Parts: sequence; C-alpha cells; structure tokens
Amino acid sequence: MIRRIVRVAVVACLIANCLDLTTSIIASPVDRWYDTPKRAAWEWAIQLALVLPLVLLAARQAPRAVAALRALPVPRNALVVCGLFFALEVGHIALRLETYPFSPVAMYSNAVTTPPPVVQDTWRYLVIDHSKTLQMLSFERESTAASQFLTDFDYRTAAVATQYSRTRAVFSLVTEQLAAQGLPKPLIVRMPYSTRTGVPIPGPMERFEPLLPGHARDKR
Amino acid sequence: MTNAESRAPAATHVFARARLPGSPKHLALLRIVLGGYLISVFSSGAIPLLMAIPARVYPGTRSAFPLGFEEFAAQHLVRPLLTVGLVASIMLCIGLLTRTATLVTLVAYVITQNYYYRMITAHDDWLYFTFFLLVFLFAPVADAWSVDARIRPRRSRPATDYRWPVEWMGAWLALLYVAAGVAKLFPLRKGIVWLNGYSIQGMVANEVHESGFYWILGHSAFDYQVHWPFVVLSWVAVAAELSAITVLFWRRAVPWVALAIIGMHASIAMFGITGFLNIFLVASITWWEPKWFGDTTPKPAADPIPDAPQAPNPSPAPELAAS
Repeated sequence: MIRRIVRVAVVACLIANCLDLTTSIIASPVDRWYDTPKRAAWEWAIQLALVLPLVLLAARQAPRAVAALRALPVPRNALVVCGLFFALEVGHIALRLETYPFSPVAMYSNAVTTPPPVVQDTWRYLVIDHSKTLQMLSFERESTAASQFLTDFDYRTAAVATQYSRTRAVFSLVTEQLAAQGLPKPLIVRMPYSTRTGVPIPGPMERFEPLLPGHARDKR
Repeated sequence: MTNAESRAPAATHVFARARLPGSPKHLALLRIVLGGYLISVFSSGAIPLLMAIPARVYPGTRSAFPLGFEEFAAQHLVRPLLTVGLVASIMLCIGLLTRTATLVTLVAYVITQNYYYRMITAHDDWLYFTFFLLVFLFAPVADAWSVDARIRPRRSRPATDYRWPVEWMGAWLALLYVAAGVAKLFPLRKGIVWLNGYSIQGMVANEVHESGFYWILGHSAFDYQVHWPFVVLSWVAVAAELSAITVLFWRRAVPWVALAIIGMHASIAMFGITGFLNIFLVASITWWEPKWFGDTTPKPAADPIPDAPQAPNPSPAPELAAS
C-alpha cells in the first residue's frame, strides 16, 4: 500500500514537472499582470532531465493504454473523432493555449501581487425604479430569474451588457426595456466605491453619454 | 441492474466503466436537458446585442477557423444560424430526426459560439458542450423518450452502447475542472503567486455590485480588504477543481466532487460571477449512476427491423464478469 502511494506520488511529481515546462513554453494572456521569473540554466537542465523518466514510463505503459483503448466498445469513427478532439484539448491545456474551440480553462488564473485599492471606480447604470427610488442596475442580478426586476436579460446577454456597458447599443436596449415598464431613461455614471464594503462614496459623479457605436469595451 | 454491474467494484477507472452496461434513458435525459439548454443559448439576446454594438474581435483571442471564414460567418451566417440552431436544438430535445438534428446543432453551435467567444473572450458553455454534441453524433441518444423511438422500433443493442458516451462526456467534464486547477497552478512560479489570494480578492472587489451578497445585505459579505479569507478561498477553489481528477479513477468520489464544484460555483455566483452553475448542473448528468434509471438492459424491439443483423447478447466485458 505504502509502495503504491509512493509510486503515485512520484508519478504525480513527474507529471507536475512536465506541466511546469510545457505551460512555460507559450506566453499566455493571463500573464499580463505578472511577469513569471525566468529559469536559470541549471533549473532547465534538472527539469528536462526529469522528463526522461516520465517518457520511459509512458513508453512502457503505451501498449497497455492502446490495448485498453482498443478494448473499449466504441465505434471506430467515434474513437478517432472524439479521441482526437479529446487529445487536442489535452494539448491545449498542457501548452496553456487557447484556440477556439479548445481552451486551457484559464479564466481567473492571472497572478496578482497587490491587493485591490481601497477606493475603486466603476461605471454604473443608475435607474429610477417603480418606487421612485434611484438604484444601481446590476446586469448580473438581472440575469437571475429570482432577482429580475427591470430587464429580461439572460446571463449571456448580461455578460455582454456588462462588458460593453458604455456602448450605444447596450444603452438603447436598457432604455427600451425600462421604457416598456414606464420607467425613465437610465444614467451612466462613473462612481467611486469602497472595496471594503462596496458602498458608493458620496460626491460628484462623472456622467457618460454613449454616442459612438463600439465606443467602450471595458466597463471600468 | 445486471449482476456484473452489481458486483463491479466502485473503484473502477473510466476505461473499465465504459465497458459496463448503460441505460438508454440516461442518454435520453442528457439529450433532453442539453437540447433544452441549447434552446436558451440560441434564443439568447447576447449575439444579436454583440452585432448591434457592433463588437470587434477581442485582442489575444484565437480561433481554429480562418479569419476570412470568420468574417464571412459574421456577416452572413451567424444570424441565420441562430434560427437554424434553435430549430435543430428543439428537434434534438424532442428526439426528432435526432442524428441530423445533432449534426445541424453542432455546426450552428460551433460557428455562432466562435463569434461570441471572439467578441467577449470568455470561455463559456461551448467548452463543455461542443464535445458533448460530438459524442452525441455517434451515440444512440434517441433510443428512449424520443419521437424517433416512437416512429421506428428501437434496434436491440449491447447495453455498453449506452455507457461509453456517458463515461466519455463525464471524463471530459472532469478534464475541464482539472484543467482549470492546472491553469491556476502552472507554471509553478506563477501558481505560488496565484495562491496568495490577490487574484480572487481583486475579482471579488471588482464584481461587488453584481454580487448576491451586495443585493441581499446592501454591502459586501465582509470587509474585502481583509486578505486571509481570499487565501483560503484560493486554496479551496484549486482543491475543488483538482479533485475532479478522482472522478476518472474512483466512482465513489463523484458525489463529493460534484458537491465541491457546486459549492464553488454557488459561492462564485454569490460573489458576482453567474452562469457556470447551470452549465455544470446540465453537464454533470453524465456523472449520474446509470443504474438510477433502472433500464440498463435493453429490451428487444417489439417489431424487429427486417434484415437487421441480430445484435449480440448484451454482456459485460469478460474480466468484469469474472470479477
């Protein structure tokens, strides 16, 4: 039992070493906020040397793996097509390469070395709701059926509206949906808020009027 | 449930499980739920909104399609394909001309989601369901609960025909979560920095106004400048994602892994990133036990198709039977 655990741990370490090398080959967009330190020559040498046992192990296991694949009750066409797609995805994961429809699933994988500022700016839609109260419009909240009050966005539309919030098309769509409920045109404002609590910081707010198509991509 | 399955050990890897009997109803449920989900994708206002903006290709994104084709598709194909895909996914859902409907849905889905990805840069449900639709092309997904099965009598098949597609899709789902953990940890020098929690702290601080906590409490769940909760969250998130690898080797791990991932997505949704929980709930049907459907041995067709070759008697793999 202990021997087996040690064996699994050793193989896991060898695979981790290999992944550490392969994920370093191509620069990924998620690295833009953190410059990964470069390896020294001796580190390269050791890590590359450690690839060899994994290759030997894989070569030794290959006939067993091929036999197991052949023994699967899967039609040959399915095995080739789905197997190739699966293998390509594994390759993209190993290389941290995103080429639609393959992805290394690297969303939120960016390394950050500093905490967020205590006060942060955001662009927000302010609307006057049915109870004549000024409130902040959250597209994400509006995409959840249980908390949908002002629009009929699904989560994908909400994601687009959030990302392109300051464009004329999103502004028009929101205005249209509010008007359908008898509500006035929204305002887009730059609003500072505390990242401790999320509560907006009182003060003059810069207003934004979306006039140009495709004007702004980022909500912040 | 067959004797072989009841005797099979729970600690079977995915290759061994693919040789066990499956249930046509399991595949049919997956087809119906995925079809329903795809109806919501094709009827979503997201792509028409991107076209109205008009959004431009996001820098840093790449596609397997040639740029010339993408431009042609954006101008002439995407909008009609949303309608075609909607009709095809309805047909897939009800199981009408299922094979053709699957192919059409796959083509429409891949082209329209390519446009969506290139304009918004986020990997979304396409990462999960492109492979599922690819497997559907080769799997007998319409042998139960479908119009096709009503119209034409079902061919008698080995019960394993219903199992391998489920196991492959389940393995794909596990692979995606392991990949998410790997992307956070590798290269290791970057991974060690990622585990310091600032990445999640920044994300949570950015999305505070979109979060469920903010709308319920009127403020953040706690002081988001306090650092240690985000260190814990980072480690827990990576552990939950990497735990998916156990699904490939150990069937009994499935409920725990599923709970961990559901918990992770629910927490992320409360912190302001919605969308992935519903995708996981649809995709994780592949992790359900086929025996829950009770029908792991196919019934012979009431009226066998003339000249159809007689399917072999459904029997598990010899080594499993021997166990």
